[in-house]
Amino acid sequence: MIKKVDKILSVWSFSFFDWDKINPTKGDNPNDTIDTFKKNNIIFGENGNGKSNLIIIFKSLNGQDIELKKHWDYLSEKQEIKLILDDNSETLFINSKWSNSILYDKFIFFDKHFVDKYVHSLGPDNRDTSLRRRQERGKNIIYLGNFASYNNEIDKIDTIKNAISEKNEAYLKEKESEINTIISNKNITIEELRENKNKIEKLKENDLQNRKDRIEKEEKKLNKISNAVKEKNKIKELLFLDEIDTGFSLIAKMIEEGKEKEIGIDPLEIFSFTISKGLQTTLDKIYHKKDFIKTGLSLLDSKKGICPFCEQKIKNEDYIQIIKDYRKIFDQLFAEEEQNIKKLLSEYRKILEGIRDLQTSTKNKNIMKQIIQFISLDKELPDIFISDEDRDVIKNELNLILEKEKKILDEIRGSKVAQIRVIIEKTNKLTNEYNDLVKEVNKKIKQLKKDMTEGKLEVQKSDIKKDIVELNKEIFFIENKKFIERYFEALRNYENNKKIIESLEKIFKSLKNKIIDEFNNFVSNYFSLIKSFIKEISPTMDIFEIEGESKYDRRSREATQCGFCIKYKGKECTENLSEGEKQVIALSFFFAQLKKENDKKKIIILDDPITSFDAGKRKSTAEVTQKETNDFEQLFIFTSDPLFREFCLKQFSPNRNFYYIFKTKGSSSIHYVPRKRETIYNSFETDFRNVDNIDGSNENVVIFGQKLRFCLETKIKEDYFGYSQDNLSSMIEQVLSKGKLKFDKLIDNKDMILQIYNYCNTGGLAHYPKDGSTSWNELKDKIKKYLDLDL
Amino acid sequence: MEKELKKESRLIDLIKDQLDNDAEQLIEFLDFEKNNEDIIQDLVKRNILNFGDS
Repeated sequence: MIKKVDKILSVWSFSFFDWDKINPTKGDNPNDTIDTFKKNNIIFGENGNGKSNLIIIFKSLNGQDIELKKHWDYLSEKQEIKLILDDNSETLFINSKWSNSILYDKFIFFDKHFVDKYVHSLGPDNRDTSLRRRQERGKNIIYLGNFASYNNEIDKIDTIKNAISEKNEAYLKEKESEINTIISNKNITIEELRENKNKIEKLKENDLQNRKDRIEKEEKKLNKISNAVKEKNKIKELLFLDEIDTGFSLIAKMIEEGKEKEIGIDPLEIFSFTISKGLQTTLDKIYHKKDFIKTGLSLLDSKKGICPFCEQKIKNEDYIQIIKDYRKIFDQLFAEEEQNIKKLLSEYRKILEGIRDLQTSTKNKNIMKQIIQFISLDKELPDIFISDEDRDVIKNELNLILEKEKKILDEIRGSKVAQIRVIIEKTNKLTNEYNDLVKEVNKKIKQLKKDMTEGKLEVQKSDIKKDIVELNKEIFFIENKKFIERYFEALRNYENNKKIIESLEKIFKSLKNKIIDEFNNFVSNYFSLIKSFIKEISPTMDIFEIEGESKYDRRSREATQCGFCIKYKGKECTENLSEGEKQVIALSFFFAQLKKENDKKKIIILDDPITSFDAGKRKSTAEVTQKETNDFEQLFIFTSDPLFREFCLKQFSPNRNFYYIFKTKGSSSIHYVPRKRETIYNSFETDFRNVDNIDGSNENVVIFGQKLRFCLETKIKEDYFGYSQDNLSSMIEQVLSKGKLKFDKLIDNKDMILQIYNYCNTGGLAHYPKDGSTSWNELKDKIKKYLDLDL
Repeated sequence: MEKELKKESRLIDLIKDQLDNDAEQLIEFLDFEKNNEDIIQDLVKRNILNFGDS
């Protein structure tokens, strides 16, 4: 509990305030400690005297981020606030900071800010142009609690989402426009770019030549297919190419013992064939007939004829037949050997002549001339020929053959058989390649004829055209990849931005659902309480029907609407609620919150809760306030309303203190007002009479100025006119109690009274301390004049 | 209007547990006190949004 605000220096309107120097230490009961706040405190002050500034100090203590500004006339002075709590602990404000957080989150405030913040009637919004929307929006709903700020959050998410979405669409449109200026000339659409995104991203600059080469080929193919389509009859008549003989090898087919055998041709052996070699071969061949020879020889030994080996005469002709048989065998075998050699020689010559005479078929050449109009070939049919050098080798070899054929038993030298073997191998390779190509061309001719018959040529033509278009596009993509990639990057950004927009949409939906839940909880927790408090504070308002009902249309993009409908005879009338009616609802909500507050150690601050209230509501507000704050630790009611003040003073009596807040000499001060005001007047007036003995310090100028205004103003208002009486008869009685003489005196001295009042309020003291001691002398003069008035 | 030091409960804080990580993180970067264009610029600086060089 706060015991007292001990000191306030240069904070807002409090330039200098010292509790102990303003408030007497004793009241009407010497045992009472009257100079401290009680549980219930009513603080009265007219507007502009510093009430709100004291509340701001409390709010700062509570933890609100409020700058406690310096008094405008004391900007160079140090600020200081000192509060003393009931356990005599202190809370200081020095160097713009509170020394501790004892009072942090200890207060609960009701003030205009609460009303503004928690009670809203939206009504139509000026920005709503559509009449229907103007009618729908808010439906004159009263928002309570945080629902207005909740709704602002939802609205914010919705608008930021829309702003991002709008910006994102504009961004994409700009980038599409940029890329369109590039692609439109090629009849490429943005959709195509998007569809081919992966393909385009894979294309490399190195692919450019490849695509150009392919286009060239495809165009040639297209030309040929077009020809084929035009010349269908020629296709029908196209002939196939002939393969050429191939497979040159040094192998001859020979008949041996009645059977055909492949015999390898060894030119060196052929060229070296002589009599002796033939003889040797013959002997080798007849070696297996040695029995026959043995028999013959044995005969020769006995008959002495001609030796078949040495060719000496054999005298006895009885042996001629043997010799004849021998010769016959020998001659035949030798002749056979010679014949073989000749045949091999002939075969060898044929092979060489075949190679020498090798040439491309004229027929094939003619067919090719026809074919290339219709078919694309990767390779041309090569000319088959041998080099001059090889030709010379062959020519030389053929000459050797000719020579050998003439002199079959002479050994011929100079054969270049090794080179011949290389030439044969080369020639075979060449002819094989030629024939492979022939096969391939023939296959294409066959396919072309088939395609023509089946009517596929048009389709192929169309496909090739498409391929060419595609290749052209690919070339364009490669050549403009830098620009296209920029567009793709923009596209990626756009898609990523869209994800954020989707997230915001999810948040938006969740918020809309949540506010409904929260509102339903709010209704179940608070609604009946609010209704009952409204009835207590303003029984006349029961003609209104307050409905706890969420107004929310999920179909619309409007931010969530939920709050109370207030009806009169079934008709919505929230729009027409007066300030006073709104205040009743706000106050009822505040009391409902207090009801739900579990921490009863809180300090309740009410700042003029009766704004716009009539007398009845002021009285009921005082009653409800007393009832609903009773369990809390401490209460401060600030008011500028004398009637409400009196209701409160009576309602909370005796457990209450009453204070005035005045601003005198530019500084606010808090004055305790005892029930018997004479005690404080007497106390202050005693000080006034002793003023000549008081030091004219700056501090005393302020304190005595504050005391002077208090005495002058409260005495006249309260004692003469019954300012705080709650009814006319009490006021009349108060006036009568002063008597006619006192009033005559008051009237006679009205100029002096106003002079002193103006001096305290806005006169010379307000300019203090510009003239230092002069102020003290002026103040003393005014104090003396006040005492002379003898009010 | 008085500035409140004590942060009052925001509706958006009440739905955080319903959101995925991306949306929850996004909320942290939204300063409701700023206007939409400034919020967008904040998100751009954090690379959450990207509008190229424009």
